[in-house]
Amino acid sequence: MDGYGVIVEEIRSCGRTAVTTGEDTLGVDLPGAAGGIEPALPGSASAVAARGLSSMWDSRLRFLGDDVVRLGTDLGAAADRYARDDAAARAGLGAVASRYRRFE
Amino acid sequence: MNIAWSELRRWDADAVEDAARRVKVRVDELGHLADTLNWQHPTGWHGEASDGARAERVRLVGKFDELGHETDPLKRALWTAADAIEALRRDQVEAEYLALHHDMFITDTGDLLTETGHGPMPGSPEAGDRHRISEGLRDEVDRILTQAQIVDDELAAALRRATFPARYPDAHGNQSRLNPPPGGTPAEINDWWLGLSQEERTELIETRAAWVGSTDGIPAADRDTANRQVLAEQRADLAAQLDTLKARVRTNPMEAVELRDQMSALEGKLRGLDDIGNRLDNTGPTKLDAYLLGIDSARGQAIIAMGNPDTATNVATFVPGTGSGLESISGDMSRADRMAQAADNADSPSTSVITWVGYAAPQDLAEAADANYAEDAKHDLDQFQDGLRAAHEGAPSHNTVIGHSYGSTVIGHTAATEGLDVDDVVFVGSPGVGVDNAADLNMPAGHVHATVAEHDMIRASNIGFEVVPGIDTDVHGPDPTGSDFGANVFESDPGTEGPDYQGGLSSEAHSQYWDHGNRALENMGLIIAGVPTT
Repeated sequence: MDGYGVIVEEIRSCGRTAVTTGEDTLGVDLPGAAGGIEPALPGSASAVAARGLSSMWDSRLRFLGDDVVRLGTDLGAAADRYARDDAAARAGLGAVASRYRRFE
Repeated sequence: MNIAWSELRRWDADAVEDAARRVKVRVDELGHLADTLNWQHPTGWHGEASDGARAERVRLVGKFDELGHETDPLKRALWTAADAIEALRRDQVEAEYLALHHDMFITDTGDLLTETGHGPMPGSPEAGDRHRISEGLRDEVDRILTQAQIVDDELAAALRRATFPARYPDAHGNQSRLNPPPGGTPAEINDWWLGLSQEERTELIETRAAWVGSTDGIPAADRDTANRQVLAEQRADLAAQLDTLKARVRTNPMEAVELRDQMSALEGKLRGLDDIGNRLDNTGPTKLDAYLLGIDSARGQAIIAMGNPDTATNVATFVPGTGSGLESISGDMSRADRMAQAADNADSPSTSVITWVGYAAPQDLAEAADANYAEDAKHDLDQFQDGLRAAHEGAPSHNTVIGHSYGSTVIGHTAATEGLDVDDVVFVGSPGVGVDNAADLNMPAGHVHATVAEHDMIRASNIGFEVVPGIDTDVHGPDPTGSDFGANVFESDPGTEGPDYQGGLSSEAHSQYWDHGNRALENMGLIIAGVPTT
């Protein structure tokens, strides 16, 4: 594999890592950690506030996880485009080379 | 939110500590994920796409880091709370054991029952000991519940700060957490305020009392604390102004006539402030505790709640009409007290009735023909109602607004254009409310109520035809008790009958709706309590 091909593979690999990281983020149960406060403090303002925090953390982790997955898919798509462009460039350069060979 | 003794029994310090531990574990997991994302950027990848990908990755890693940092104070608060709760629970168990040991019992509400039938003979030396022990136990129960309240306040504040971190930038942020969210709604103000520590709230009350006292969304008890300071300052200021004028008159008696109106206005305002002060101090058994929710002596405005609106089941706002201001605040506070009593008679579990003179009311009949006073008031009344909703604790209260005379016009204009967040509106002795039909008030059908006394002079303002051709005498629209208007019309006593040349109408009847025994007062109590009227 030449230098250009190495970069494309590196981008693809970063993309795969990001997708996995994003999916793992969605699975981190931080909201559940706050959810344990409500039943521990019945009748308190803290119980009400903990419910709000749990819900807010749930939204934030969903947005964050989705954004990381999106970065990963974008990187994968970029790697695919680079690979296609490289193949097209190679094909184009091959045609030029064969034309030159005819004049040799 | 008051902590009940029975609820404190179920507080679980271990579970709170476990929550702190779980938060730490989950945040550590997120930290590892951030590390995974923080890869070496592909060497040799340059250009716009490369820069964009790098910036996005850095942004996302930053988001993970932010979340981690934000939980640090929360974890500390949870650990502190867990320790405090453990100590409180231990004290609670000891107090209950001590009570049982002496044949006493602490009820679910924290009351101490001493008459268990097993006590010593009255008057015996043992009875004296028992009295001392019971007094000590009562003090201990109070201390434990007060401490529980403080623990809860502090933890709830930390939880709210973790929920809305952007509203509370830390020591490295540009904005002090003591600054409210810019342009915040009453709900946002309430969230922010509850997220401050008790020390921070106290600091704001002491340093920015006028702002705290006048801001909708801040709890009534804190507004009251701030406004009592403001009241004392404004009273001292008005008294000093009056002394200056009196000194001028003493020096130059010729100025007496010129300064008479000014001095009289100052004396009237001072009387009003004293009336408010007296009502705030009057916590006797027949009256609810009063809360000062707004005071502006320069503009002659005040807002006083009879009963805490943040905890009451039924909350009413009374908007007085023409002539209202500081000088006449005593009568308007008395009407609020009477409505609270009437609601109590109608089995309202708990009530707060607020005298809302938070607007520049017209001061005479000529001014009362001008709708601009109502237009100018509507934003403030709407905001105030939103603040009541935001600051209310527990299940939403049943909220009512009651307007007398021009106060009904203020409510009509507000409801029609701002959309009042209330359950019922009541018009009493109204000159018209700015719309032709109850349906235009953005209220659910059946929640607009109106009354007018048989002899009320206000009827003259609702003739509905041009007495003088070309001159509209019905400037505020039709009488809301009219059959075409569509309100629930409830009964009032007829009021004092006027002379024949006035068609039997009298100005006295316009002010008798709150007299003891008037059916209007009874009906307003029913509406405040959410009960059908007669």
